[in-house]
Amino acid sequence: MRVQALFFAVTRDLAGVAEASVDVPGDAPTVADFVRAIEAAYPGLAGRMASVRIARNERFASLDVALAEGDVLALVPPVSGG
Amino acid sequence: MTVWLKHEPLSVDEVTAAVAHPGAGAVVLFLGVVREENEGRRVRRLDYTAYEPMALAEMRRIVEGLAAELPGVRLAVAHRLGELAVGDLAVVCAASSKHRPDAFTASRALIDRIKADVPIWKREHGEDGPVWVGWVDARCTPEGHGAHAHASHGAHASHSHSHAHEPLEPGRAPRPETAEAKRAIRVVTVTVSDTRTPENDTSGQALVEELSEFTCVRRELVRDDPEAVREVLRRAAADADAVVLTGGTGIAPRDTTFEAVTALFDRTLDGFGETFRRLSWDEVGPRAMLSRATAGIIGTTLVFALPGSTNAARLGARALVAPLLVHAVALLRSPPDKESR
Repeated sequence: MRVQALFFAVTRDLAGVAEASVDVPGDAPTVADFVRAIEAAYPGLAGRMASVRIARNERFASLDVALAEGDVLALVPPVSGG
Repeated sequence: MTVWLKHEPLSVDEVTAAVAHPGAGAVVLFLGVVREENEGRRVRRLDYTAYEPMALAEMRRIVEGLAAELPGVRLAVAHRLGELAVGDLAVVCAASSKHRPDAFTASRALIDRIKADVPIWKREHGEDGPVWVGWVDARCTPEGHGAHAHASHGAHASHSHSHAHEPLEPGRAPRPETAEAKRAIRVVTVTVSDTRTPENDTSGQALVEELSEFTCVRRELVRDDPEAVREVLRRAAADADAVVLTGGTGIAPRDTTFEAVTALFDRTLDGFGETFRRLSWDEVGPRAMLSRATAGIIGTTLVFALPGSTNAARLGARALVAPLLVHAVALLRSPPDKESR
């Protein structure tokens, strides 16, 4: 399933890209499968995703949420606004 | 209810005007300002970036959620993006209400929730190069990397990134403990021992394994020396929501963890030590009484001191610490003034 990945802040530095089209394998992939696909595709992020939250279509999503074709999934490292 | 992301300087008046109305007898403002130093490092400037559409949506959700929790309160918030210098306004939060308690409660909760959940990041430029504030490498190795976990202004330094806001109104069911809420909790483990090395630190390893659902930001190893333990604990408490120590809680002359940690506690959780001893009674009988396991709170950080045996560290982390963390951290992060409402 193809989804769009957006990289912000430190994850953008580590991945070296701001956005990418990512193929998530599996019949009914979830956010957790997306995270695995990201770690496989971007060695700079491998092992570093524990504190990175995923936003699905502009809302935080837990790891068990199912993906849909064309979803926009953003990597949200620890936020530091304020 | 108004929210802004702005690439130009913020106007306190504009945000204030957005919450003012004839029925509001109280307006509370919070201003977040760029500070000149962070964790001992000089700050020259900060670059703020955001996932802008989601940041706006999240700010709206926070404001609407608070307005639902505190009827009659009006809220507005403006956050600055781009390059800021020391003294610049980074964020302006305003809350109005009929009487002051709700406005104080709402403004505090508003900034806390913004700092926890709105996808905005600051990159700090100081003398030793740029740093993404709040980022620590998730890989947990003994003597890991330094953490830069603090906000760079005078605001409440919440390094939370949890969704588990404690509701402001009593009687509401707590949210279920999601994997995400657990992952958002930052833990530092500390092994106190004269003899252990990173290679044979099995009790530290047990802590990391039992707390693997949380984010372990650092694993420390320190000798049985009260001043060294205090120093490590001070640093750990600044970087983590919870610090779990193992070792030095017995009654031998070198066992000084109890004295070292309790000296720093702002508040003590007496039930932790008693519950741990109750559990270990089943395994070691009266010898359980020779353990000085203890827990307490430093600022908003939970501190647990467990014995040094691998089994005891594992038991305490699994049976007592892990089940408690999400709820306890949410309580420590919840805004004050609940009683005054």
